[in-house]
Amino acid sequence: MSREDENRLAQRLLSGESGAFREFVETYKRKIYGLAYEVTKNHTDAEDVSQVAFMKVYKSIGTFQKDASLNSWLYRIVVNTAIDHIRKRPFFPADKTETVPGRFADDGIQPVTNRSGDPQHEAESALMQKKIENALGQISEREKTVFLLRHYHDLNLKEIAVALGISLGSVKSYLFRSIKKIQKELGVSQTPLEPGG
Amino acid sequence: MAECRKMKSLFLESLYGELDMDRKEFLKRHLAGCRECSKEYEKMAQTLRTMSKKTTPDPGQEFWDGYWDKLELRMKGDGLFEPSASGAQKRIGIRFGFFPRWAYGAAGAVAILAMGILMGRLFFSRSVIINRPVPTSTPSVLPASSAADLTLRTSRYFERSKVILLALVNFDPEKQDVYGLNLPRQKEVSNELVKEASALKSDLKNAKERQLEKLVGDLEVILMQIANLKSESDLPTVEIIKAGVENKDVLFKISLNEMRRTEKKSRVQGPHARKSDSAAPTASNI
Repeated sequence: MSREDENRLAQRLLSGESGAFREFVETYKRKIYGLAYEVTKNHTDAEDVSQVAFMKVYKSIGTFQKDASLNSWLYRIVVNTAIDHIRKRPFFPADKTETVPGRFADDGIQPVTNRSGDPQHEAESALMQKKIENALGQISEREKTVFLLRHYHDLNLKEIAVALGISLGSVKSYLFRSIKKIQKELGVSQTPLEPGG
Repeated sequence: MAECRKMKSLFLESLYGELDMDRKEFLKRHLAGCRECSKEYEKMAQTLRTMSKKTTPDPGQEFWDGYWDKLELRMKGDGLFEPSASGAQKRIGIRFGFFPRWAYGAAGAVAILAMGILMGRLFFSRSVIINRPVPTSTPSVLPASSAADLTLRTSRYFERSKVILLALVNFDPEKQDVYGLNLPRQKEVSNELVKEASALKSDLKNAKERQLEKLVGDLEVILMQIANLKSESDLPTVEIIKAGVENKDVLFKISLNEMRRTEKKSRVQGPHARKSDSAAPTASNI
């Protein structure tokens, strides 16, 4: 969704336009669920967190500032909801390891590995996922949240600062540290790349 | 070295495409001439490329297709509703979501306080009441016998409606079985009451009992919704009806009406008649 579209949707939400909230949910549900899943690592919790976050949006849309970023505002709500949820969660929840069935996203949450049907490729892919998960497990919750928001949810550094209520400098610091830790965990060897992304 | 430190501070923005053209060129030139920075930059880029291979589990299309319905159901259960609410919701005037939750709590507290004051006046100020001259009843266009009959009918109507509404309002879907609510019976009685409503409203209108007429009208809308419940497990609609009952304060109004009736009866018949009172009240003091 472009920034213009985002602003238009925010305006429609603020004016209480019929159907705007549903459109908002349909637009963001996959992203929000995706982030909630990354934080909670549990399908049921992710669904719950995403729904609670949308309800909070609905209840507090009146507090949204017209010139603010809808993305930042929304992600702030989601992150806080997810953190609250984790704090309240029992230490040994019965369904902590519950994951969703083995289907994979094709909705732009992030790049997706093609499933080739080739057992060797599948095994390599599974191994890669394991390595990535392990690497993410090595960084602190705050670093991880910053990394997830920047790398998989395409929030820019300023938006992350607003979403988490921290300074831009802190965002850069958390992100830099997280990349360095992940790099170490992955044992990356460099290949040539042009700057600028 | 100082320049390298300055350049490293641009790495993140460059890797994520947040660098403007000037600074990007500046960094590019530095990397071309600094082997150490170039190496570090490339390692970070490789790390991010590897992390981009991460896949996210997807719960499947069925989950996404039903996502909105589940959310909407939950919102209704929590007293929220979607702006494009159904006509039924609009009819009963639910406006949750526009007021903070505490406002409903405050409204409830005020209602309880009002009831307390009223009850206090009723039970602790009897001497004041009986020493006052008996107020003249609101002139009724009906003869006494018809008025008593109307009063009785109205009173019974409220009693029967109240039983249904209380069962619904006190029903907790999380703790109770929906089948214990016996919705088929509730629907049947509601249907009977809806049929009775128009004649009763007409008689109350003739008797100039505007408030009672309005209360019967409010009840009629709610009872109609109960009578039209699609199935025994139509919990979302049950929640809407509950919200409507609370929003229109119908139970409170029925109780208030009962108290007024009792109070007026005691004024007319004196304090000693209170216990043995069995005479029908008049239409004007329902």
